[in-house]
Amino acid sequence: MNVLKERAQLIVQFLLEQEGPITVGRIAKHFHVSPRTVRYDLDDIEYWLRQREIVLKKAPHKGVWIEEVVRANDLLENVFSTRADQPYRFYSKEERQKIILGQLFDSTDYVVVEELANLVNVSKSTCYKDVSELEEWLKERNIELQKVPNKGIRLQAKERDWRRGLIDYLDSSLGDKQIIELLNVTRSDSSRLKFLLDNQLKTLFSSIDFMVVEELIFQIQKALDIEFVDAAFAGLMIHIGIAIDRLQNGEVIEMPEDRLANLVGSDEFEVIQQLLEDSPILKEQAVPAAEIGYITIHVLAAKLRKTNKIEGTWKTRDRDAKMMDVIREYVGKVSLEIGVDLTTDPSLMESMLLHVKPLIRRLEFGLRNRNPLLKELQMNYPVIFQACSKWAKLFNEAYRISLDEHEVGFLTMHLGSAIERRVQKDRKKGFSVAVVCSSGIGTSKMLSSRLAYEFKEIELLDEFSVLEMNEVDFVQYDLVISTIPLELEAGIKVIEVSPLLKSSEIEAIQRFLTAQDEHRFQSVNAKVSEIFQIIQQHCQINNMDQLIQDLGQAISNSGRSRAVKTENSGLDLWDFLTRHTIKIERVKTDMENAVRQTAKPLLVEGKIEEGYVDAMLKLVDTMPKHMVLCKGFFMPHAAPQDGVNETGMSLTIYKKAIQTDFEEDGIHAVLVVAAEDDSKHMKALQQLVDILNHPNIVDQLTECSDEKEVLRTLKRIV
Amino acid sequence: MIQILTVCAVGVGSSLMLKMNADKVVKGHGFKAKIENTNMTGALGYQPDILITTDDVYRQIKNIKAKEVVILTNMVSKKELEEKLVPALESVSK
Repeated sequence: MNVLKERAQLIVQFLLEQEGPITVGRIAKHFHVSPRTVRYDLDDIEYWLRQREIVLKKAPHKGVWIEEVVRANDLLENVFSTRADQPYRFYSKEERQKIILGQLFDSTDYVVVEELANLVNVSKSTCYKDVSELEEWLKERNIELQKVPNKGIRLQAKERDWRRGLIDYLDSSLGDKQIIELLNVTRSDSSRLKFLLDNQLKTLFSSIDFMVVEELIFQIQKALDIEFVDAAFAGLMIHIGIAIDRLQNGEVIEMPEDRLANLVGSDEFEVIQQLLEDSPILKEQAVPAAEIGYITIHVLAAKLRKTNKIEGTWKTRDRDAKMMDVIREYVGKVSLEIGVDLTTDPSLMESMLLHVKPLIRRLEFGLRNRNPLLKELQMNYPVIFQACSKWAKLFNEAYRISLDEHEVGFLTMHLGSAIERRVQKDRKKGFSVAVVCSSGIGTSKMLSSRLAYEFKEIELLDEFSVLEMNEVDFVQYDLVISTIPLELEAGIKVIEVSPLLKSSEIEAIQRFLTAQDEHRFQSVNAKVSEIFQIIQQHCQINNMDQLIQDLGQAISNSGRSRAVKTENSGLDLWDFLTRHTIKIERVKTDMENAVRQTAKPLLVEGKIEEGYVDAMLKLVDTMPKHMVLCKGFFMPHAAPQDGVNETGMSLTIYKKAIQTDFEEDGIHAVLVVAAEDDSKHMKALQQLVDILNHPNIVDQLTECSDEKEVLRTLKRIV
Repeated sequence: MIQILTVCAVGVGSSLMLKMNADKVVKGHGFKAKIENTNMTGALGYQPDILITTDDVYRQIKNIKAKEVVILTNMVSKKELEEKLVPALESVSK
């Protein structure tokens, strides 16, 4: 065999980049293929390498690796040198289906399956499988997939369903974040089209000048005296873009008479009609009323950042008052359910009113609004979500609509942020932080509440949207936290986060704040020594250390105790290791299970969160060796910010050794340590060090017959 | 004074215990050293005389400039630490 398949070449390269063995499972994950496919490839690779006198090493539970890295690298350079010219990509099933769907939406004519297969680098039969799975997705949206022999496949649907399908596709393939990025990019130049081109929608929008569409929406905002949130703005651009594109192709949407009659005559309808007629988008082409109605519906349903207008022909005062009543009742019921009274929060009421108005219109018009944070919300705020979901019936009954879980998710965001606002009391203050968000009000409010909750050090939190950015002087802030990539002038620290703050992001912020704090602390120290020298010149000093410490306290004035950590501080080991937190296990198990098992008492007591267990397992996976304290004794632990509520420890003794690839003779003792800070567990760790320095301690522990004996054995040493 | 840095992944567990043991070894052999413990990210800000950690952690922080690097198999084995740390201490005090 002289030639390796493309993917096999990439796998060889991937192996060479590793610093040790890698499992088939990981390779499969990296290349988005099944482990079986990887095994077939590895067979080819092994044979290919052997011909070149290089051995592909394999070991059970470890994986595969290549030892002769230098020679293999040379081979790679010589043999594969052509590859760089022709980039070759492997797509996951999901990616493939998105590309195929894009092609189908993109083409007015039939598409040949073979071409699709070539496009996504798979066989024809795999491509057929992808297509038939897509058929389900399309059917849910009333779109038919026509298959004609010798011609190919194409989409067939009513105009309304076609547009809705395309919007869903754009939503799922671009995602809110990208759509907003798209908006940001083009605010300054006209590369919006390029962005769309990059996203496999080669011809879809080619005939539309998006700058003009953007201008149209700005005019709508101005004429109606409203402001859309960025995601809604981007969404509108796409809706109107599609409408215009379809109109130019002679495809016109239909709308039931009665619904249209409801819209005609409203402020919004008239403004949009006027603006469309004046706009250069549709040259001398009459815009049908149904099309104006379609755009009007989307404008009405778009989420608003703010509205300066209280009254109008569309929204009467009565309607607002009724809505406020329903909102008040809703917030009241949810408050009761979750045990936190939110009815007195004026800013919640305001934001709810702003949110609920378009929400009800959306549902009245049957428009769906995808909530990209739904899963995270359900996971992180289960109680609030449940309560919000339960009382959604108040809106359903009042407006004869039906809130789906995506809309409940948005309500959860508003109420969740109100709760977090309430929780942040008695926080130590200090830093000023600017929060930049591009999406809706709910997201930015929630993010800043969450930040205030996580970081007591933050004193000032200001929220800005991308649109306001140019007017803000960021120099006055210690830190800018943003959900979108920002380019600010040098010297301003920006941390990019996801709206719901992952633990790694919290960590990054924490690191920055700690470093800043350290910096401040040092300047206090400098001040102290300056004053100290003056005092020394003029006075007799009785207790030099005490004086320095007191001066430091007085100057830093933050009350933050900077006391020197001593190894005797903190609680005793026996405060943590008790009969309840020690266990003997006689059944053979693996390391992951052992960590979960040992962590359980701490989880049950609420000392740690599930996330802490996951963080430990991740470390066990990536760098377990530093947690092997001595032969057979393993101490999994993660960082305080990974989910520790209170310092705790728990120990399991395994009669049958746990086999691992990092400790030859296996592990007999697993001690989970959760530290809320770096001092409370100090004394206990010191005691543990003494115990572990005792010879044969692990053997002794393994021989114990019950939990009491384990405790006795440990105590005997200290 | 000799600067010693002990490093583990998160900086509140293993490295702390390692520091405690290192303290004893340093004092027991009549050296004077300032010993600090930290996590991997924290470690990048240091230029210690002696760096003590395990090889999986060291792989992540190879860029650190240290005069001597002590790699341990067991994080809390005083015997192993003594065997490896004392020569390092002697080497940097020269």
